[in-house]
Amino acid sequence: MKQSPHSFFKTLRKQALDNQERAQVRAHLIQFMESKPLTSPVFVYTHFSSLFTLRMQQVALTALVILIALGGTSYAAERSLPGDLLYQVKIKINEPLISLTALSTKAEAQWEIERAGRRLTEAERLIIRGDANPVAIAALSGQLEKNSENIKQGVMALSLRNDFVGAANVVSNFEASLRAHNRILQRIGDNFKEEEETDVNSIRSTVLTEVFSGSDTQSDLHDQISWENEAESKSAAEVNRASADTTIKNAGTYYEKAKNKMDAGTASEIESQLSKAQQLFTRANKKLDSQDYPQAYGLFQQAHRSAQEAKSLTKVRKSLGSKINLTFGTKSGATGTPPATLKVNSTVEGTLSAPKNSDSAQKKGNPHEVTVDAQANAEANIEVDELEYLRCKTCTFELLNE
Amino acid sequence: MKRKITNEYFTQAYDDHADAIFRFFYYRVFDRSLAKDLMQDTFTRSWEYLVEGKEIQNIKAFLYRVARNLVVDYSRKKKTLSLDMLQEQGFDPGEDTTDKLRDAIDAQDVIKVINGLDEKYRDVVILRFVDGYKPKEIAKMLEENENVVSVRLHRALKQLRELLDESSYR
Repeated sequence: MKQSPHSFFKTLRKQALDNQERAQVRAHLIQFMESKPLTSPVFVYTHFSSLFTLRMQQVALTALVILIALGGTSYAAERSLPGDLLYQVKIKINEPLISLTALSTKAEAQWEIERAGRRLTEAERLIIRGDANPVAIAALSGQLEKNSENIKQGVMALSLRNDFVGAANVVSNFEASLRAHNRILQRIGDNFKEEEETDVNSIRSTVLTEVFSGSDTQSDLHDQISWENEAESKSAAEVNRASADTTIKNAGTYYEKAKNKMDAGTASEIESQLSKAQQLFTRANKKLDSQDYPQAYGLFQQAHRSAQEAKSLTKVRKSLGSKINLTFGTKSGATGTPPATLKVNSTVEGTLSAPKNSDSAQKKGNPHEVTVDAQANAEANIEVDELEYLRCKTCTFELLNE
Repeated sequence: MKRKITNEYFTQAYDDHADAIFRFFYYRVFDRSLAKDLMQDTFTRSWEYLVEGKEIQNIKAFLYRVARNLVVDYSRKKKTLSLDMLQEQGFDPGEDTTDKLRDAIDAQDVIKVINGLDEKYRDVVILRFVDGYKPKEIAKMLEENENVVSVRLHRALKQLRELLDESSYR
């Protein structure tokens, strides 16, 4: 069976001293120390100082002095974009200061998710403003990849502590933020002619790649739980339930406070996500009651992700400002005719037939096949299809005309 | 903030770091007994340094510096890993119990993968994902810049994924 990095590190950790070995070496060490005692006082710097080295103290102190001197400048810098005068304040002062407040692995990972979101919002605003260029977009994409790598490391660290639900939630939160930005970028792209969409497509490509990578990680994390152990699998499902419940409530509250400033298209999408989250939660509860813990776990995870995506979409839309108009619907120049049924075939499994006129995206027995009916939910379904295509390395992408 | 070193402080440092330093050696020498001896040497040599009246900035970083120097000394008389060595340590792929077979295959895969990693990548990967240190701490321990550590971790994971794909057991 193929080893994932998670299981590989678990194997590495099996090598450790047993209690007897540890005690034996300790006893020798104490004997050695007593045979060679310290003759004069010697000192070491304590943990607090070792964390905040002189350099970091200088940075923090300098930042504080600048913040006090500049007053509202630091606040103003938050809205700056690459190329603006205050952008360096945002990147080199504001963000490092915020980093210092992240004291746990989860907090660090969540901050990296925020940072990735900030880069994507900057890209969106640059494109809308008409100031985007390939160099700026490439730089922002590069930053996004670095943030993603830091998040993956945080996820791995959490899973090695057996906090699989915590790790899965970090992945879900990141994925939700990326999907929300992908939707916004798609809408922004709709305002351009095809030949002008280069910058949008460039950053969307990076976003979708990271979403695909997140799905792999979720699959790995799922495999780490001992599903054959009833107590462990029940506990994992219940922890996930509590997490999904909290996220759904928070997302709903967040949206309620912001919905007056939402355009109709975005509001509709957010409400659709929240409704989907609730439906998934209800299904998951039924699975939990029937003691189908792996299924319950998976469905609670999906509910969490849907709710988180709703919240992310609310947040992203707010950050762009209500004055920015995002067109929802067909591209400029499109005929208005809905696309035909899209089908992804797996070259490994062979071609499978698809039901015609299906109302929603569904998977058949073969996990490589996704049949999509591009009607009212055209854009959402196309997004699903792209992800399934990216996930399946052997799939081909066919457009079947009815 | 300075703190005076006492016997209790140093034995606490042993309690905190012995396992991680043992693993640091094990994944270079692949010999438990030798790794244990080298780990002990790390602490006794560090104590001798203090007996000479010298100060330590950061005990964890210092222990790893001593450990790395011991690895350099050892690598001059490096042994090659063989299946015989694995068998001496209790892994015997000839037995037909599933768990032992899985352990033997896991161990062979692990050793092949670890040996395949560049040495600089091996350090950061083990410190980060096995011993759970943060990049900031690793930077201090290896006396490197934090950005260098982050880049190394990124490249290490990439190389590790390639090695794991190649070493898949079927």
